[in-house]
Amino acid sequence: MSRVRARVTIAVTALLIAGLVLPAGVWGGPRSELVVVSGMWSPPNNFSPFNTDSAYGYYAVRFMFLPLVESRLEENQLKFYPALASKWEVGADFQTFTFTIHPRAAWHDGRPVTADDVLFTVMTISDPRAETNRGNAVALLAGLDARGKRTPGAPIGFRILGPKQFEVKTRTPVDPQAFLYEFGSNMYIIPRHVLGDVPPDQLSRHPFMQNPTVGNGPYKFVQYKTDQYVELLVNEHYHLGAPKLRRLFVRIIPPTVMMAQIERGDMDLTAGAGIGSILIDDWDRVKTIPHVRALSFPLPGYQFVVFNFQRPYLEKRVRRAVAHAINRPLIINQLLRGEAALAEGPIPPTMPYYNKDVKPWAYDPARARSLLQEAGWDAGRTLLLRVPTGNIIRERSADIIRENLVAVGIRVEIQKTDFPTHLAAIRAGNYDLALVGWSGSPDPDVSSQFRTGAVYNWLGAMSIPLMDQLLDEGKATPDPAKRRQIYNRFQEVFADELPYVVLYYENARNVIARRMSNVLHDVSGFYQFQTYSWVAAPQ
Amino acid sequence: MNEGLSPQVRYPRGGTTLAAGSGHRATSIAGSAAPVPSPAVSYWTLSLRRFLRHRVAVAGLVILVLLTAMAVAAPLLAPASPTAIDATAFQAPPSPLHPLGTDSVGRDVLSRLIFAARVSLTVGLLAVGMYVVIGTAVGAVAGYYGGTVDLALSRLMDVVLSFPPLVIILFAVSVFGRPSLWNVILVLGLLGWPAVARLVRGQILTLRQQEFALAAHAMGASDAAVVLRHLLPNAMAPVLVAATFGTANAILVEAALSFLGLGVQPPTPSWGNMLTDAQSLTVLERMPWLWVPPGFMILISVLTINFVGDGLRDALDPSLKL
Repeated sequence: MSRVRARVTIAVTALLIAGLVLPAGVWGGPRSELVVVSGMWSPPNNFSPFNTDSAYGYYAVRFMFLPLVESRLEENQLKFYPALASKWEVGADFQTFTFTIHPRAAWHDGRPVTADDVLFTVMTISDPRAETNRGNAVALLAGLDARGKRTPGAPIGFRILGPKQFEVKTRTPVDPQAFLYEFGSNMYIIPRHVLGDVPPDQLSRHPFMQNPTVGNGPYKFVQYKTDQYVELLVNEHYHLGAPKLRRLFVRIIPPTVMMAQIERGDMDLTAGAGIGSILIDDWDRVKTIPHVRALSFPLPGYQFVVFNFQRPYLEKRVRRAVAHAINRPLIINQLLRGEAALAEGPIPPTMPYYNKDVKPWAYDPARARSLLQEAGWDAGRTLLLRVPTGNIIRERSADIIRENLVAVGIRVEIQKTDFPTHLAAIRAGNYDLALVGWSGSPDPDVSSQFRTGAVYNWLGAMSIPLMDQLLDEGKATPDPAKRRQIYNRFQEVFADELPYVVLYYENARNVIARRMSNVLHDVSGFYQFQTYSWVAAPQ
Repeated sequence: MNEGLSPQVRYPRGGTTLAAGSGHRATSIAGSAAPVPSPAVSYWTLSLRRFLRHRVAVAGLVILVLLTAMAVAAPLLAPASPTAIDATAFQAPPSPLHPLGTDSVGRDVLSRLIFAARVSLTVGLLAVGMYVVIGTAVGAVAGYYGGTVDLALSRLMDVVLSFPPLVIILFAVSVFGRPSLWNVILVLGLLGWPAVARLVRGQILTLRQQEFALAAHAMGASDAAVVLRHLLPNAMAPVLVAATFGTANAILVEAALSFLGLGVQPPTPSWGNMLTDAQSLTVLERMPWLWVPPGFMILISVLTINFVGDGLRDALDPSLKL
């Protein structure tokens, strides 16, 4: 009897162990297949190429759908490479752009990708009834408003020249770089022959967005196991050459587990900054793992302290004092282990329009104290510093900022809340200082944040006439050389007025298995990897 | 308010006989003009003796007293300020300067640990104090008056019991827009009372039928006098036990909320928010000083309070013989 029981126990244990080990086999497929596993922290809620909810969704979308061009940053210059389009020309008027679609570009069902599909994509995004978060991609087109929406029936600046060729016209002359970045690299083209008959207001909820089987990218959708993984298969007929990897999994996995998987060699690459990267606490450790490369590079995103401009006591001298008081070098060197850069403005140091001559205010508590004295700072006043939860480094930086401000005589009370509550409180003006992050972009036009009354101007609600004037001029000037002058001046004014104290530009901290090569990244969205170029050696 | 009561009937605080087997301390008045002379040993003395015999509970109590003393004397005991940042030592291992190392922004872990005891004990005691008062009042009214009042109050208890406290707290944080120690205490206090109310109600329900209560009533004591002077003192033993366990639970909830960043606000240390440092594999495996000490403090405080609760339950249960 007891022997039988023992055998049963052994059998059950064996089954349990098998249960723990076998799921790993799910990634294997046939042994000979070249399989790559990528990891991100949270699940996407759909795969809509024009309206998925988050960077998580777009990470998955980018394997299956292409924009017209890919944007890459090379030595502080934005460069564009073919994706769906093989050629593009900029008109002498800085307003007309002609695109030619790659002759072999085709949908996963074999139909060619045509100018008609691009028009359909533009019409969908610009339709006031359609739900989309790609409005910015088309907002520069003639006939559309600043949110990228059209008046039904009104003509728009899009002309089909042939099955694979079209011409677009912008409302006003624009910097070609700005246009190619937004329209060219941020808009994923959708198939007209599949979605053309769906009413625009129902497109977002169409079953296709959960099961996007007809894409045009290097990988085809196989399945999505909710909250577990997205499975993708190579597109043998990809027009830029079939990828070298056969099967690809995007796993949804929390940071701690991700780190363990990387150590075990079960994960080939992290999805990227903000959606799946290496925690700062694990950074030194990941560098010691022999089978992966730890890859850090500067990102355009930055964290900042925003001042509530509705508070008269937060005047310019006080804002300057705050900039002097915060020990930003300490935050960067200790908290971020040097994996960050400092700049006194919203234009990223890695981007073409960055003004190198604007130096960040030094950490100087004595100077801060004298500025406060000049401003007649009331030592009895307590400032409310709002901090959102979720970004652990930002939360830690709040403790340092508070200590720094207290040290120069500014009393600070920290309020931590979840992110939606945090933003609601800022919108309601219920704060003095708040910590927020912004994912900067290659184009220097930052009017959405700093122009009086613009879409994101509620962050601080500043109204600085000189800044408004420069932002308007910059937007209306297509010539890159003239633009540079304008934005150089803008950055000087920014550092002087300090609507934000920029804390740091955090580097991306990614991991790529050594067996993988040719993993390039581009600057679209969150600086993601160009998926089609990936190569991997068998394990 | 006790004009109608003779001195003999008045409930004597320290000198009642233990009515063995009845389950309650009751002055035996029915039918006799004078109470039975009390033996030297009172109920509380007896309970104390029983408690002292419960070794684990006594050990728990000693540790709890030490923890409380540590919380009170925190500024004297802590080697450094709990908020001061050592710019040269972030996540530094234990050293003579920082006996338990430093946390992720260079603050002394030992000092934070000591100061954090204040938060946990404050939350535990105030939240539970609050709900014991509410629960006792509601339970007494429901149990004493019965009928429709009881029905209405009991359903209210059911409703409040069905609220998940953590979700309510998260909700309260978004509504008030400001998480704080006081919000946590308030929500725990306002949600915890039904458990106590049920206990009290059950006790009062049986007690009010006992002779001593009927007698007090017959002699013209007001409802308030009967409940406050005669019934409640007899019903408090289980409440005391429930309150002890409740304190342990409140400490855990505070730790969980602070871990999520929605409890005690920085830079005030709490054991829960100290644990937020431990969210990566490296810290978990290689920097134990960041999470073992606060984890241990939560464990030890909750464990000892539970031991004390066990001891109290045994000591105050009159049906258990010596």
